[in-house]
Amino acid sequence: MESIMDAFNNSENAEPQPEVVKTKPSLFIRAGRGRTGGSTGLDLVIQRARFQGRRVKPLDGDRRSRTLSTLYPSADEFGDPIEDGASFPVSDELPDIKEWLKGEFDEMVGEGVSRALDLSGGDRVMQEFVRDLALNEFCLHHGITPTVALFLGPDIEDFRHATEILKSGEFPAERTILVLNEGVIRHGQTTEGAFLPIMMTREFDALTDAGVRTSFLRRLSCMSVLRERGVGFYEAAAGRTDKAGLKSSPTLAFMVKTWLAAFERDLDEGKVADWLP
Amino acid sequence: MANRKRGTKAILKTIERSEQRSSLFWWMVENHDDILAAANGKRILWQPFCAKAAADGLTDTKGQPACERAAREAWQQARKYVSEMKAKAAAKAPRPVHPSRIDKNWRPANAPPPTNQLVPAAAGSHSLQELMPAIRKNPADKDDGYDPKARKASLLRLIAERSGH
Repeated sequence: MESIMDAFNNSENAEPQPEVVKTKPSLFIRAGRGRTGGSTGLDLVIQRARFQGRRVKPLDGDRRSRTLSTLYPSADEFGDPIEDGASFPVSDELPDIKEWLKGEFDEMVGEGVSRALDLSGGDRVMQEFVRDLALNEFCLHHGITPTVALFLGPDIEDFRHATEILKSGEFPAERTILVLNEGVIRHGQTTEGAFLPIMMTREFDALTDAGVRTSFLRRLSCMSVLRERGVGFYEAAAGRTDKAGLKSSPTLAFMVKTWLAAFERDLDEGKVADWLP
Repeated sequence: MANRKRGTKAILKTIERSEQRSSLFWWMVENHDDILAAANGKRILWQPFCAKAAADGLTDTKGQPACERAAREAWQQARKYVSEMKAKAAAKAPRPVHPSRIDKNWRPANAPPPTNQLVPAAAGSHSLQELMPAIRKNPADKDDGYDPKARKASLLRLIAERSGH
């Protein structure tokens, strides 16, 4: 925690920290039902890695929302390519998606650059692909540990869906994180009301006893402001100016800074910080 | 319609309640549990009780206000009567239940849950590994000191705190 809070001191001049430990690329897959805040969570994971000086390329397999493609365009306004911009399949056809994933995984091994894959609603695609390629074994062979993050909102169906995926055994699930996302709970609903029904099931105990880990993502009330202004979490926390030249207000910067610090604390406590790219 | 039902019930009650019993006795039977709770294991002070009962029109078998001794005896009989009625009710065979009335989630005792349903943490006796046989653990994470139970306890504290407790 101290380290991340320290990172915001002298925030005007905050620069990405040099990579120290990680050398092997990692594959971070967001799966599960839609509307659970997974794309935003994946965006946070990507921003965190980049802030800490590690390269991550977003792979946008969420064919409906295309969130990552919007947040991380692959070309600038002049059509020049942007390094580590998001890539996406040429069409929604299954063979194209498989081909796209195959190409990206080949590049990941060749370049040594981590990938963050958004697969909301694309579990079937992944299951087929995993079966075809033996993805887990492929990754392990190349020294890559795949991590799957299943985001959970307040709907018990989110959890039911996650357990079905994991029970199937067709996902590369040696490292799986269940993310309890407070950011998507309904207006008027308490955090307990949203997550106690999930946490008090035997499936939850069974999963966590079997090695699945958990993360709690707090609600950030100014999330929509950041989105509207197109400013990143770490830039806002550091009080930097956005694209329109507006500087984050002290309250906004403090809120984001506190939120990021709580996120880091939770990653440490849940022992999943090293699982992220 | 409702009035007729109430009238029938009252008539049946008079048949059921023998005139050999006093109105005080039946009042005690009806309020048996409340009297026990109010007494809270202590002796009942019969003198003020009798005064209050008389004021409310509760009488002995002769229609007279009950004296302390009569009230105490009526209470003993009422307790015995309630105890017998409860024993009878417990001994009665359960009413047959039509299959269409059985809850869809009903399962025989000790049966493992169906795999597509979530199970409350307190239920069942099957092992957790049986529920999640497909989960694999990365060998590198075995010795990092992660304790799922401590983590769950911490998360429960956090969500309680976030809910204003």
